[in-house]
Amino acid sequence: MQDKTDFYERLGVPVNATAEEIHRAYREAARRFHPDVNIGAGATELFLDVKEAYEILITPESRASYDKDDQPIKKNTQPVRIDIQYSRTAIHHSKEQQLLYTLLDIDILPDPTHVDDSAPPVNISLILDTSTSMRGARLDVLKATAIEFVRNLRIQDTVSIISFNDNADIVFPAGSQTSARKAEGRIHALHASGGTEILKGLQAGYNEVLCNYRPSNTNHIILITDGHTYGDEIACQKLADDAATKDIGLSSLGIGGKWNDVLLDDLATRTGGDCLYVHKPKDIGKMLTKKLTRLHKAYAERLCLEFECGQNISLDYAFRLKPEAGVLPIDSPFKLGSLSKSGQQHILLEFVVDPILPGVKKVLLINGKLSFNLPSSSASYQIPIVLTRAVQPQEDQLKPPGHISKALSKLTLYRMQEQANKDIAEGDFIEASTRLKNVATHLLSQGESDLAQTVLAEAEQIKSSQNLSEEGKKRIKYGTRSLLLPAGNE
Amino acid sequence: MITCPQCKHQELNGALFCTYCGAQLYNNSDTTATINRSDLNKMSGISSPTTSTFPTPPVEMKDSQVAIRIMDSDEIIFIQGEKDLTIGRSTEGQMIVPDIDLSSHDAYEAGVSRLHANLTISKQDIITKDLGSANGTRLNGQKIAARAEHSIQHGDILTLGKFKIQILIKE
Repeated sequence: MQDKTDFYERLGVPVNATAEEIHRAYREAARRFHPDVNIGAGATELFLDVKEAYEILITPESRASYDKDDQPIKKNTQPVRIDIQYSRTAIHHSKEQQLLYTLLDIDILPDPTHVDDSAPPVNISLILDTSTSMRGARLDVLKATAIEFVRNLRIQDTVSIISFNDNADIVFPAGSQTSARKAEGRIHALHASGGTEILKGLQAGYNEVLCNYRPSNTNHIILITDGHTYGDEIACQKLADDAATKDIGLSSLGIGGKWNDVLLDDLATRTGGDCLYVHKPKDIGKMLTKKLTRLHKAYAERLCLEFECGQNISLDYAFRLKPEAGVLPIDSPFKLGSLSKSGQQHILLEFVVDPILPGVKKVLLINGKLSFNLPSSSASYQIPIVLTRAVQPQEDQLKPPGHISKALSKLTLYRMQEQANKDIAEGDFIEASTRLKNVATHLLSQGESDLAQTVLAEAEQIKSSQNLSEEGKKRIKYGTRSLLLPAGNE
Repeated sequence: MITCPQCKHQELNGALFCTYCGAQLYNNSDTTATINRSDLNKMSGISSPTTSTFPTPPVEMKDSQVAIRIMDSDEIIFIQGEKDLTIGRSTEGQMIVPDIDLSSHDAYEAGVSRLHANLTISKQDIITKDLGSANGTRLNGQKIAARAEHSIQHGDILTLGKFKIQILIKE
């Protein structure tokens, strides 16, 4: 038999690929290389090579014997797998720039042998905004939610609660769930006054998390606020970067229209946390419970994607579709937080490919790796991620995989509202208004009539007030973003 | 560059949607026969939002009498000859593999059973029945009882768990 060490490479799948992935890779290769559709010299040979690899790998018996003969290093030892889909089978020679989308689906292997059912302890700090604007229903709900949150913790978890306005107060310091429950009365006693100094709240929470910090724990800070902080943004970002080096996640819930979504989104992105918009105070409880459930189910921790783009390639946009929708930075590394037992992470990347001259056969998009820890066995792993595409002389018809086109049809709406905000910043109000009306049209056709109404009202308002209302802006931003979440997730 | 057919906005090659008006910029298939849109409209109350963003592509039936369109990915599976076939998904080590295997289309996540439903194709009509699947089957949004026979018309939509397929029948 000829050199058989590269059967997985021929199909372009990882050694731990599932039968489904192998099948999909084969079908994609077949479309590209099948002699009936491809008359290019050498295509038949390529196809036969792929076919040979496919036939061995698709049958469990022959695959097992192939794997056994293969070098032990290629053995299936990774507890996490990455499924990669591209929007196009190949890039083509062109004097113009072109776009390519890639969807990374990071998932736990269907039946990993080393799953330990006890998720690591959660070490968490809950930071509550008690500024004047929280007075009334918001604070009442927040108190009830915080008490509920503490009750939902497990015996092995540690928690602290901070309240902040112009200054931060430690409602109770880092300690066990049981000691926190005894202090529930202190939450009841909170009252609202003063301003919103987010940095002070964050610093106090961060210090408390550090008290019980262990790398093997799930360390997280959750900030709940309805206000805008002024002048301390850069310090907040620095704190988030410090937290990120220790893999402490920072998530936020923003209530109403006045909070600083740009800053809190940024803090989440830096640390692998997430940032959610709360339209009605009564939703706080639900969102916090969901967040805690996910932290409790953490399987892999400290997910981090490091990469370098290939020559003539730039990463133009990166977006996480799952578990929460959010924009990622376009520079390496991506802090991706944790991977829960029941869920995957989906990441969509948009690449701009610079002009490609004839003679180039293959382009490297990114060369990188995904690293993560398994708290259950305190082992750390790295999975290499190399994304490449073949180059063909001519453009083929676009037939993007369903997952990519579906995600993009919704992400496009999110990006249109982003662009509308840029238009406003540049003073182009008519352009912004038209763009938003286009968003509304699509929302209506997708049955999102409530959100469509909000968008339409704001599109009208731009003309007179030359801006969006703060509340409307956030509803549109987080509304279009949440379209990307799988249905039935809420 | 690609020019958006709706708003004439310019996009880079490889773009899938217009960044200005949101229009879809790629075509899924070339044309001859058309699918009955009214069957899709019947679905509108319960169909996923994507059906409206992805208009039904007209499909060339080639020499098949029946074809199955996967609603999520727009892939078409052409059926030749078989009179009686099962639809489901396969898993490793499974003894009975369905004739139409949807496992490469994320059928598992969508709640498709291994042997989910059955299609019986004859010259006169096409009959479907649910094979006692875990998550049930809907025909144009209406839940059908397990093992009860239902006749299928061109353009009908079967929902296996959450997985939608459309049955296309040659005139």
